[in-house]
Amino acid sequence: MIFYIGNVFTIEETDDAAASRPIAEGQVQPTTAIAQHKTLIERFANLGKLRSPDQMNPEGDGIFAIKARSGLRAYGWYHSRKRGTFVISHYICKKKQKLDPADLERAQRNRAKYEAIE
Amino acid sequence: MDNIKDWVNASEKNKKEYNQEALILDVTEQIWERLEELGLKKQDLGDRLGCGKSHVTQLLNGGRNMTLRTLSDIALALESEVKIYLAETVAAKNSSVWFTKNYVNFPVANQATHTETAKFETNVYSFPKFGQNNLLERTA
Repeated sequence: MIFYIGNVFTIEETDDAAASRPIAEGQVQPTTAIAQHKTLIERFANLGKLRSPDQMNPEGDGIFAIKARSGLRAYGWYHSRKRGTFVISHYICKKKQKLDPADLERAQRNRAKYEAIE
Repeated sequence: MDNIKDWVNASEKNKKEYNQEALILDVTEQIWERLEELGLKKQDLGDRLGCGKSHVTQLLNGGRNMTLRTLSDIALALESEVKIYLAETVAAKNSSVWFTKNYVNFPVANQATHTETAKFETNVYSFPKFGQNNLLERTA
């Protein structure tokens, strides 16, 4: 489903993303952390990229993480057939910089499922 | 549906914090752009500022408040100068949602941008175009 339409990218969310977003956002305080993460997604959608590798970086196998300093992060990928579409797989809140392999696998599963339908 | 717009407009607090974060991101993205143009890394900027890489990281991710003095020092270190412009906030056409023409600044010399960005009536926000109307401009 569509999450945000920017000048460069349309951001879509999987069902997992829609379900995990309120949970992850509920784990961060204060609301500035949520504001920062939404700003990152919106700017990415409108400008086409985030220059800071601290805020968006590849995690492998075409999966990217958009990360706020609070630990709130969204994993996603560029849709293989829908040009100009970035799909958010799921959200988590974690402080560690290192990627949890389970998150990469979760994103890969969501991608396979989502692209088979969308 | 626009989740971001809905969240921003849910409360004055959200709107205020979103605007703060947007400004921080616009400024730091322009610093990143200038670093890329100069082929510099965070460590290089830290060296030029006389501080450590971790300090620069905190400045660039918004974790540490950047004062105007610090921004001025960064601009100097990046062979740039800071230009500030406060754009008026205008209501989006056919909507009760507010938006700003530009958060950060636009050099007075480039007034054409205001006309251009004002055309984005379907967007809640409009944005400075990096590389064209930068906060940090090269010094002559």
